[in-house]
Amino acid sequence: MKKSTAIETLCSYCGSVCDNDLVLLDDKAYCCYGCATLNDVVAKIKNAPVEVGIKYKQLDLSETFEQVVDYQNDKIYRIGISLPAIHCSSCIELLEDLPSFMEGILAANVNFEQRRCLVTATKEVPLSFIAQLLDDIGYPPQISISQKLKDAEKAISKTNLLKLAVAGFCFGNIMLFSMPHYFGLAVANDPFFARLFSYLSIVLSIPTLAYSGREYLISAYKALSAGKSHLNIPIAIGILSLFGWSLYEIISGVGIGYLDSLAGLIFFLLIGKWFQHKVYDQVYYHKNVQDFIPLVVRKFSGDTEIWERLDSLSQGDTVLVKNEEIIPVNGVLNSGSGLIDYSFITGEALAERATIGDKVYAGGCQKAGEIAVLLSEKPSVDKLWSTWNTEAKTKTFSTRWTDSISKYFTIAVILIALIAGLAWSFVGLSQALFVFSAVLIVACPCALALSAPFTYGNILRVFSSNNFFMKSADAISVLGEVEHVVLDKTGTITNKEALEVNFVGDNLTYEHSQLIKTLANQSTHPLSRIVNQYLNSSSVLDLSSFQEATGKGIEAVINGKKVRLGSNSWVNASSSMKGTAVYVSIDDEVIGHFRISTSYRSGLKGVLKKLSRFVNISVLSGDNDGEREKLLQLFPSFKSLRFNLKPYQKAKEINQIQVSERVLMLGDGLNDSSAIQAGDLGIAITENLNGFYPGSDAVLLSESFDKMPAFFELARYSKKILKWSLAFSLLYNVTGIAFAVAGLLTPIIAAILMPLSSISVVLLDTLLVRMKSKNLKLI
Amino acid sequence: MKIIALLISLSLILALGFLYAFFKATKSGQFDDLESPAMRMLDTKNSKTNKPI
Repeated sequence: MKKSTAIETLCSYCGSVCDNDLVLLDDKAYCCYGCATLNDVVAKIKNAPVEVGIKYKQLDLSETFEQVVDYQNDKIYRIGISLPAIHCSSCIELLEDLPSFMEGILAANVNFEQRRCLVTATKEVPLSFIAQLLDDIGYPPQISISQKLKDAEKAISKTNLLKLAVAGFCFGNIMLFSMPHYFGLAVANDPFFARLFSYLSIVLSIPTLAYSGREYLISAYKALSAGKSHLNIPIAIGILSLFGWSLYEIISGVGIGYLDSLAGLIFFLLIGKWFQHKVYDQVYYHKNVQDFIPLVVRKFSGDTEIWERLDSLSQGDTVLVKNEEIIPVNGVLNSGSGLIDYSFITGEALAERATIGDKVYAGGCQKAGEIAVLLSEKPSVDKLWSTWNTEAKTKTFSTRWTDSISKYFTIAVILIALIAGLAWSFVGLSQALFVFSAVLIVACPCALALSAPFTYGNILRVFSSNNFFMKSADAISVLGEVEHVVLDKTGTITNKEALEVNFVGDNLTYEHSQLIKTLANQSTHPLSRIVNQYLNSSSVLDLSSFQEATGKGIEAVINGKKVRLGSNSWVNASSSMKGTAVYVSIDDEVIGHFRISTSYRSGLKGVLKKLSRFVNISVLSGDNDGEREKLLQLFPSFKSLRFNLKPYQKAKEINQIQVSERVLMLGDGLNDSSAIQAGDLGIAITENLNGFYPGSDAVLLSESFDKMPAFFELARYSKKILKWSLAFSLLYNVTGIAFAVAGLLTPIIAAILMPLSSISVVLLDTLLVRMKSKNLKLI
Repeated sequence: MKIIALLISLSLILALGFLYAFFKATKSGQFDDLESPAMRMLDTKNSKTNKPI
């Protein structure tokens, strides 16, 4: 047995018992050096003042606050905050310690699966403080209204799960009550038990019908009253005739009914639905411009800066934008030197320079120090939106082909049922009724209804494991029918992150490259870094008298030589190149320049070649046609190759192609959003999932760009799978109807035939999708 | 054989109990996060219930 010592010292960081070699630091005891160090680090963060940045200031606006919090009363509020940076158990430990970081935070509870933290705080702590604190400790929060929409989606999938549970419970129990009858057990012949089992089955089938299966009945009713055909109509007919006939049989004492088949049917249908319904935690389709452009900005009032709401600014106000902040307004650069990254909006990799007097646009990110922007017009969020996008509308997909099949299916089934019923009416009325309802029961296209959810559900899973996230299963069927693919150029088929650097000039000697690298190494300017990386084989020398002229270039003396790197005016170069270039001069003599251009995504050539087997390909670009030759070299058979297009013109072009073909638009950035929206299917390509992709039906991570042809092929194959399943389920239906017309559809045959058809169709679909995916190297 | 009636009612009550428990668990959010409780258990620092002796 272990004896505890009289006085135990507890570690002031982790709380465990300190043994003999405890560490004393600042009058506090720690069990080990690790705890002492961690305590020191955490204490530094805890005591650091929180300075709220522009990104989070708007959270304190009362209308924003009310929209984002989950719960609030006079004293406290609670909010679920998305923190995509949560990675492992240490993150949970740190985040749940949040109450000790700031007075007023009452509780923090991490949901690891959803990468969310539920924070409760008193009203004395503004939400912006919490957001900034989280950002400071390395977890930039995503707080937005779009999060709420996502929660609503989650709630639906939760209800679906509960419906599934009820259906499963009832199905299992009704099945047990039917077993004695099927196996001819003595208990089934006992009139008391036979009746008990039957009536219990009725009791259990009511929640299945009224709660779990309600949606099928309601949507069938809606479709009928709107005069539309829908797959749910024959399903609803099947369900209702199953229930009606069973009630009749049980109450009149003729038989035990088909309630086990009814519950099983609904159970399988709900499994299909649950399988297909997938909410991606990391992907936000609902983001809008307010999630991106700050609603509260810093305004100069005389010499002091004050926070002001964006919509209360007016023309002539001056707004301050700090380094790495998003420019919230359209205006003119008033002071400072702009280096503005519009990559989020246009996909352009290189930041644009702006000098005083130049126009700057909302949505750009300032990369080089503080600037002031003079408003040229009164800003409004609607207007900001329209700068990059013409209009936002929701897109509805054309109804699935299964729905159009269901029309003929329903008519055929009712006709067969009527004819068979009439034929049997010569034998007797009750037989005629039985055959009539038996046909309706067995023809219920549940196998058909299951094949689409399982095929699409499986494909959704394959796609998402390859970083291709579809908003809905319906999008897959559209992807399979696309005939024309329209690509944006910048940021879509070019790589935002990989740049091509060429030195234009005399041969670059090793000595020169050493000099240039030494100089470029000193600056954090994006272009210097690119040059620095390009020359990474050279070594770095000592340098003196380094100076940087913001917006122009850099200069230093190395090995007694004056080296300059920068714009053409900085080095006094005579010519000015089109595009982005960094000029070099050594001892005032220009030796050449580095040409920096975006490179195409790796594998682009292969992707285009493979895609062209299925579809026509066009490129619509907002840029000038400087790359036309290069593109044609890569792939000579573009259907059309257009340049200098404004965002709305791209959308128009797409509408024109749509007259004869179904169009897929693949684009990136805000400036493509109207084109993405215009396509029958819009896919946004993005480097990371924290981005902003309005109007898109699917999001593709750029690393999976070369898998595009495989995605296409799988989506096209899905239609074939569905046709096979259709043939399969029709085979079952024909067999079943043959039994029914012959008057042989006993409950036991129904109980075998119905689950068998469902399960075999599900297995067939899953197997075919997996085989094809393996074939295409997607799994 | 009438004893089966008793067994059936007992089994139904039991199964209904399970169904109720599943409903309650789902609604209280027990299935929202299946990963963090396992990690939180090992966290000695923040837990109030899991203090080392």
